[in-house]
Amino acid sequence: MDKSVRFRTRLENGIANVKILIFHPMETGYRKDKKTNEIVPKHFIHTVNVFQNDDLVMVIHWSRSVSKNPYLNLKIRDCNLGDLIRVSWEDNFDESGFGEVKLE
Amino acid sequence: MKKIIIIFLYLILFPVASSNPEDPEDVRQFFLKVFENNLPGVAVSDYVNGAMIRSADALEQFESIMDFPPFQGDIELGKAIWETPLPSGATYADCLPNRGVNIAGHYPIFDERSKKLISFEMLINDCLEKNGGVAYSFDDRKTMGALTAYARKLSDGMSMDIKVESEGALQKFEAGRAFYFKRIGQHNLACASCHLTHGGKYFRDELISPTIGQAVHFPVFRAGERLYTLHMRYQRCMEAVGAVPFAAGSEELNSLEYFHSYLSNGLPLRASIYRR
Amino acid sequence: MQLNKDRRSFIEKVGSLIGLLSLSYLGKISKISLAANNLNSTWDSAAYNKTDFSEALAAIGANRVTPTDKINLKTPEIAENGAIVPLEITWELEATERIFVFAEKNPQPLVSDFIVSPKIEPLIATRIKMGESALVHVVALAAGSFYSTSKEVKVTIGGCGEE
Repeated sequence: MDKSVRFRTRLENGIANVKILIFHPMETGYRKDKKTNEIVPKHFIHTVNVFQNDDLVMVIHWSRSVSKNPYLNLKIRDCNLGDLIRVSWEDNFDESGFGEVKLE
Repeated sequence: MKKIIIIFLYLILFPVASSNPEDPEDVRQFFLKVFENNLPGVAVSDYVNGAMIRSADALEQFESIMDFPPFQGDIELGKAIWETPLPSGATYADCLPNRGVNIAGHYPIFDERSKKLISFEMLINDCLEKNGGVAYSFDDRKTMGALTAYARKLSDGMSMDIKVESEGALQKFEAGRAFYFKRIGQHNLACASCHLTHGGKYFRDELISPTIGQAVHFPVFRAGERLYTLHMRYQRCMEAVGAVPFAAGSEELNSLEYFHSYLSNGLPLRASIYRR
Repeated sequence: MQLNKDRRSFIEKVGSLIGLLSLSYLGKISKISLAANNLNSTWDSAAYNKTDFSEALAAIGANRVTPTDKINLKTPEIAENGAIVPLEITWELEATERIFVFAEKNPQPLVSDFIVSPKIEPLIATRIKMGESALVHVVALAAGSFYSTSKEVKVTIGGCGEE
């Protein structure tokens, strides 16, 4: 597991309230580097997969219009203590990341 | 007749004696009165919200972002720096009073021996140098910025509690006050021009944050990503009025911080917050 | 430039393969409970690259969109900073498969889309960038039809004293 994903979770009545923060520059490709005066190329996460254990429960597509260090809040039904919430992401540089958290 | 003369003298002398313009507490009371006038019905504890005072819309965005701040990574970087032993093997917690917990509200402090102000950031650098390290630049986001983004949070919730209890300390307070009221730069504006006179009022489309409540919430993350320590913020303000800024960590900005922080005495500290 | 284009089409082609790879990276694959599994779940570059809102709508297949009050969009009235505009979307539509978010005046109006399985409660919150004051549209694909709601969000330039 790399260090790019942060979770805040709360399990209540079988519903997992999952908050996710992914560290990523989400560069639009419009910004100029103040030091080099060159355009910083667009660099953004395009796909996020959210799993409850091995079940893919949500697919998220992002664009450069999503804020830097992107945030996501979702709720998953029929969750239990000990379930693993897993997130994988891929960006347009073919880089990827992954994080997981156990529901407590 | 004698009685009348005594009463007359009493009335003449005491008002002068009790409204000493150099008494820091009198200055703070004066600022409070101005803001009470500019912000009727707003509790002093709400002044910490700065430009968001009176805007439920802005406060809601603030709370939403603060629920899971995008600048989490910077604070984590600061924590890692805080916990990493210095070349001598000691940590910052070993150096700082009370292991760095609930102390930031006391700083800056006037040091009688050196006759200089000591800021929280100077404590950090002092610790670093005493333990085999090289002092950080006061405006370096990756070192002093990130480190204080974490370390100052160890004092979250404590009240600002700046003391001005000696002649030397009073001189520093006065230096800070003099600068606060001094018109500078191409725009010929003083801090007081905006943040006292218009503190809590609209200036063009912005609500100007009142002086009281500002110093408690640094560093800030503008747009949720760009870190500014208090001194870096002073510098941006000076540039905004077309003045050449003092250096971060300079005696001038330390004096300003001393005066500025004193005015927020009694308000709770909260470091590393979102600002637009 | 050309390299980026090739990259994108490459991503498109192996989009589902990447999805499968990340699943296998996680260990054994037991089942995929994604109702929208039948839908194309790759990043739709054609739609995301459209610079016109109505063209982007057409690109996602939303030729007929019915306004509804069954989608609730919570946005700021005046965004404090266009770089980080919090949105919260809830909905009461049956059989919702996919949610699209548009910021009408962004250089590319399609901002994000969410493919939701039946395991997802009807709530999504995220933070988007808006270049200027505009309508934010949430379009839901539910039981084969498109429904939408919109809200005007004003955007101010960041506060005083910015670098």
